Amino acid sequence: MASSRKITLRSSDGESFEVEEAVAVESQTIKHMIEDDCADNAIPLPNVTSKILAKVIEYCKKHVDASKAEDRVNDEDLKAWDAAFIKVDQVDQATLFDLILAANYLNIKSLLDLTCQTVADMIKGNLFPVRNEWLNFTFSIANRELVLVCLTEWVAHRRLFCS
Amino acid sequence: MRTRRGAWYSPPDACSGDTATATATATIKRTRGVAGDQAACPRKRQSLSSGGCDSFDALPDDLLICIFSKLGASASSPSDLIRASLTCRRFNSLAFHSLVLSKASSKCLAIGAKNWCDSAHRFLKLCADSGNMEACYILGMIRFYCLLSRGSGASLMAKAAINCHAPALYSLAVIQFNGSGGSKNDKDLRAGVALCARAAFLGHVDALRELGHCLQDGYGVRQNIAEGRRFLVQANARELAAVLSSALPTRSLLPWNHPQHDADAPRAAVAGCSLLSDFGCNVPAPEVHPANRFLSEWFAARSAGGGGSAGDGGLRLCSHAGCGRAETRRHEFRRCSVCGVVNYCSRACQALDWKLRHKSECAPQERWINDGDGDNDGVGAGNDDVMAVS
Repeated sequence: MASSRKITLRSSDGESFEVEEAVAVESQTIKHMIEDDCADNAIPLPNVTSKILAKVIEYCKKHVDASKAEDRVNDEDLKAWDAAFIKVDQVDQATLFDLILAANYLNIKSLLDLTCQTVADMIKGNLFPVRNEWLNFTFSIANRELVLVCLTEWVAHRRLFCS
Repeated sequence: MRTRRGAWYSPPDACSGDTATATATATIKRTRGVAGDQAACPRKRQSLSSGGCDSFDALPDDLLICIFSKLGASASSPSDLIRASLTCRRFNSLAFHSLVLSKASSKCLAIGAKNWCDSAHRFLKLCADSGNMEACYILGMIRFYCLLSRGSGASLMAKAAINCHAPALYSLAVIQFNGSGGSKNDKDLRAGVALCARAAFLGHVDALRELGHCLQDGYGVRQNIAEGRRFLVQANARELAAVLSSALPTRSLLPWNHPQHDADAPRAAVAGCSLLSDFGCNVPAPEVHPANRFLSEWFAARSAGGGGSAGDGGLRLCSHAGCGRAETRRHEFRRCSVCGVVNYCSRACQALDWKLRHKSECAPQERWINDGDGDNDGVGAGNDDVMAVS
């Protein structure tokens, strides 16, 4: 295979993106498709919109460039870049979830880890309001351990009968 | 049947296939709901937000489990995960999935001793059953020392130890050295050294110290003073490396002066810990494992002011604050040979406490004439009952 072969990716809304092979194979799904010789024409990605695909490609490009440089300083820089990359999406939760789904479909482990950890931190930071009014009362308790006592009981009873 | 409080039900379609629900739970939940209502009424009702959990509907269950695993692994207290499980019905059924629990960090399992209840016990058991070794270790310690069920506690710790959990290996070594849970004759020094060596090779600092002292004294293993000294130095180096890697401000590593006995209180307070005094560094004390913290809190709550005693039958506590272990029979722990006031479960605890605190307080006192040893040895049992200061 040529070293700087270009691969065309087509999103669900028909837009085509041309990327280098090294960037495209960050995704294990695409990598297997290429290995199975399905990449002669554009690779269709019916589950990914163009907006999300653009972001994914931006992420992969950055990581491929960073691994080429192989500089120690780049580790912290890369982490900072990742944080800035994902911070935009924290505001727009829909994009964040679409990124998770895209990373899962395209099988890009580092992006999946990054996005899932971001959502986990948001859950920890209580950014997802509670649906039920009764459950809301628990969040207003300052003492975290009281939450644990009250509600582990409830949850544990459920699990006890479920398992 | 409650129509407003949808979350009290778990209709079969809402849960993922692996957590089957039983209608029997509805009765139980109804009674709990009453209690919850009475508590909720005085609170100001918060408005329901339309976003929140609904956006998660796009994600399949396995991705949600992935998110919760990361949440559990990075949680700083149990309430992080518990709170997530209360957000909505779907979260609740997935947050306690065994995959999530198996990755929970030790901080996520750090239940306080004053909150100990059946449900906390069940929670830890759930985590242990799902393959979380930290949970096995913590539950093992709690059962062995606090709940006094030695057999199940030891077997839980053994399960963690088999999976190369260093603190569990070290705890089992301490149990073997002291013959905890049995009589004085149940001590098995060679087994203790073997377990300690395994923990030490996994990098556990206390185990390294213990092994170093055993080698120096020829305790359970052939004496090799140089090798022992090497392990002690390695323990100190590892401790320093751990502190450095946990990004503490560098000003804490200033050269340290041993606090004087006279009232030099402000300087002594600033000096922090004397842990690496032989290297001339000032390093804070290592962070206490949740299991040890639980033990300390448990016994502190139960000893109504009796300094250092576990309350029942005059059983003493290890005088090292970060350890928390209690004796399982009288005179199991050994005391400082100089002052005879403090006692320790292991040499590692003694060495740490000496540097942290005891060095400045230790002073020769009137030696006890009547040891009052409950076991068979008489007055001459000097080797077993006292430890020389290293």
